[in-house]
Amino acid sequence: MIFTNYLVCFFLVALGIYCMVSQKNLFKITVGMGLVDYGVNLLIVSVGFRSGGTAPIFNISELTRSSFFVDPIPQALTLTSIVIGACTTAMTLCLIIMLYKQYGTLQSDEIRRLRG
Amino acid sequence: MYDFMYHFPVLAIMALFLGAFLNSLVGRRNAKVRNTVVVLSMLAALVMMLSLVKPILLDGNSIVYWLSNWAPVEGWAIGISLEVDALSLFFALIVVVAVFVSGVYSFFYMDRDDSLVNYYTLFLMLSGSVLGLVLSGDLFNMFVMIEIMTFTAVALTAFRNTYEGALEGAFKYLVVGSLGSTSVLIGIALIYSQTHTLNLAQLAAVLPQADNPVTILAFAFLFVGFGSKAFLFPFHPLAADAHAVAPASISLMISGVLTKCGVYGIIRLGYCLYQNMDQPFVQYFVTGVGVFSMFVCVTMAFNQHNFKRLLAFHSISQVGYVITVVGLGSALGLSAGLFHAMNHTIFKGLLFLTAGAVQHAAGSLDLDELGGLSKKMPHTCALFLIGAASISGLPPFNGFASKWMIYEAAFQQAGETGNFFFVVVCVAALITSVLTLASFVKVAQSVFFGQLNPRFANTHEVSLGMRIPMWILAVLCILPGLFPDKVQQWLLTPATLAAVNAPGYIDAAMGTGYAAQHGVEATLSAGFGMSGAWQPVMWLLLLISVTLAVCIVALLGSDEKATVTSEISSSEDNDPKYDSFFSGEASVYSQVGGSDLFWGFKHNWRHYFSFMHNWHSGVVNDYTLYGAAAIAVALVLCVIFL
Amino acid sequence: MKKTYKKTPIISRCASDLFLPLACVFGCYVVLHGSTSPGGGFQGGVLVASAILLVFLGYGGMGVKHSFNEHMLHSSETVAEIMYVVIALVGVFTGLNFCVNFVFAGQQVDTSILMNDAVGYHVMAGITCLLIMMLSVLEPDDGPSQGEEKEDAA
Repeated sequence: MIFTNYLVCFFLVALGIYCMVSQKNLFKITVGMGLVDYGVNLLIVSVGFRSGGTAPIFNISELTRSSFFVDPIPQALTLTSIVIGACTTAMTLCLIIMLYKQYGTLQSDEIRRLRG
Repeated sequence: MYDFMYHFPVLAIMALFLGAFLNSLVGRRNAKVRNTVVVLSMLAALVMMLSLVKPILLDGNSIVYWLSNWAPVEGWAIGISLEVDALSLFFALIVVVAVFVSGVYSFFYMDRDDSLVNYYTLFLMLSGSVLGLVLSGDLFNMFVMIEIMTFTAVALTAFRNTYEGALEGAFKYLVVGSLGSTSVLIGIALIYSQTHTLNLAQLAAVLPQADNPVTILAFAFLFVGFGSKAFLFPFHPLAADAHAVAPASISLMISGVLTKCGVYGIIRLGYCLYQNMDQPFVQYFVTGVGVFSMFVCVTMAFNQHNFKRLLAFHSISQVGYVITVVGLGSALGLSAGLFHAMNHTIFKGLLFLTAGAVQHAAGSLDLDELGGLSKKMPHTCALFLIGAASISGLPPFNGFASKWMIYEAAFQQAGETGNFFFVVVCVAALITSVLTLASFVKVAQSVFFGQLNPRFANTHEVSLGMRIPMWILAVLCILPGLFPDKVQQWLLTPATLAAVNAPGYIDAAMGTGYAAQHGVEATLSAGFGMSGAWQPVMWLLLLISVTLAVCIVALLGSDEKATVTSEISSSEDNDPKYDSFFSGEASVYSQVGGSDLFWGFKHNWRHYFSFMHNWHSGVVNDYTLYGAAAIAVALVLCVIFL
Repeated sequence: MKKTYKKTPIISRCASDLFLPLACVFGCYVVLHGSTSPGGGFQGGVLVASAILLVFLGYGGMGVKHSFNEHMLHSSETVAEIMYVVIALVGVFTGLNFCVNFVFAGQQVDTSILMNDAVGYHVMAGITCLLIMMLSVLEPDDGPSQGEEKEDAA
């Protein structure tokens, strides 16, 4: 089951990068960035998974040496990474709106005034 | 160690962030309040970092700061830490000085822009995140700081959003930069899956032992990620686009500070975390990337018609130098790399600020259009010449001292290993330096000398407030060039020793004996000898005497060689495009443009240049493809050879 | 006032009235219980901020514009940031460490609750600002409001 997770996250990252490379529409590029983000988040959560573990939410009194739970640190990392991904998407969308106002197009191969 | 100094690293970072927040709260209406807040927070960070010089760089201590007092338990680092050793402090000093100069400069440079409160908020957040990155002792914190750094840098690149191409440059930087950040994050996830810790000190203890395919993949991912933040070879088009459109003070930050973060990450990765810089494959790989960056970018700079875009390519070329010698894996190479990293911030900052002054005064950055500004802006011209001499490696400026160390390190490596590759590295470094000089002759000719374009007849020298930061940087260019032994004694030797002393770094954080318990030894510090065979003043005298000798020979010699014979136009290639360019009447404006100065060279290399011109296509998909290809190549190479 | 809202159907207005307090209360609950349960400042803040979409659905762009003061939101965002830093710094100035637990020392409730609330406040204000900006782009009769977009990174 955990092997499927790794396969899916590899697939998501590869799909996202393919989307960023092949799609000319700026919004589709943003979607590709999002896919890469989700793939990586899935990877981090899968890294912390322990088969049969419970959610890592305990009071101090409940926490004993024998309590068995999934690794909480990757979950915290994933939350941070999700927030950062949301910021990236928001920022990209803002830039796209302003780019559209200035260039009048959403095709990435027409937005190439800086080159050479 | 003084007790209160223990808090200085975290206070310096928080001073910058708090300044950013206060600024956006109270600085919206009153410009004076805003500037006061900005100056105070920058000064606080500067003073705190400078006061740490004595205990850390000179006395050799290091500060380990466990946030919220979560000290390690039973050999596991459970808290988040800041760890400041001499290497971190060396980069932190570069950061705070560059931030201070850039901030003071932007008070006067940005006086015609509006919504400046956003500018200063983002600027201070950028500074704080960069400082947090170099002082952090936690891998994931480094990632978060990298992300904040990228966002703020993107927003600041697009700050003048009506400027031609600003949004485009920012968009490319964001998309391809996010690929680099993702690469760092994947590397962190893979490392965590193997070691179950993210503390740099603990990782440095366990990673060299955990030698399995997953950690090797993580090395490749982290290297590409940090390399993308330093804009190394396949990521360099981003830097060119972002620099060309950002305000000059932000160009200084991007070239002088952000690239240093990538360099710092690579040094930490190779020398401290994995300690694999003594393996031949890693040396070839890192050095190869550096040589590619420095050579490709310096040739790309020949084709440019925009002042700041040209400087951007040179900036990456100089970072290529740093990475080249860092990859040599010798102590001399590392110390040369650190020296050049410091000097690169200084002289490249100076050059970007002069470009900003030209932009502010003349309103243009087009090399084909500008000309003859030396009569109108004598101070800026003098400052530019100092910076240009410095970046080209002329004595007695700082560029000479560090480049000499770079040649020496490459030569020493070639001699010790007897490997032809390092001979090529040494020669490539020399050729790149010559091409840099040629390129700056072109810029000086087409911006400051020659004929004045009538359009810029009303240009005036920039205000004193803009010149003072530039003079500070110019003085900083000259001083290390005159006293390189002092710089080496006070800054480079402690930083180099700290970088190669992985057990010291581990023991400081995890308790004495932790490194020995995991079998970590300082392998790289063996045979550490600083070379001091370079005397800039002597070389200056030699340069002057050789130049005089050449001049005398040229004057005394026959006149035949002094006449220009146009060989190319008389050959079978009768394209009028390559005819002599000194045509036109004296009364007509006929400035020798930047693109005309090296037409012979460019003609002979036209296939290479046209290929590179097409390769930098400006389409964001292509740049993403290069980034993805870089990740793929690094993965394949690391898996096969490491 | 009634005229401005005439365009939106009464069903969506009623639904918005019904669910708006629910969304706000649930968001606040998630923020306040962040230190002992899943969720926390960020998630709760986003929940509260998404209530603005309900206002938009029910009352249109004019309704959003009337009920929120963008400048106040900006200020409260920075106030929350400063609150967070100050709470963290109190540890330093009481002679302890940065981010250290200085209230109710030794108990389960600690400084992280206060920090959590600060984060929740910040995210609430920040995301609301962001959403207002995005909604103002949707409105066709609105003039282009550039310049403010850069605040997202903060």
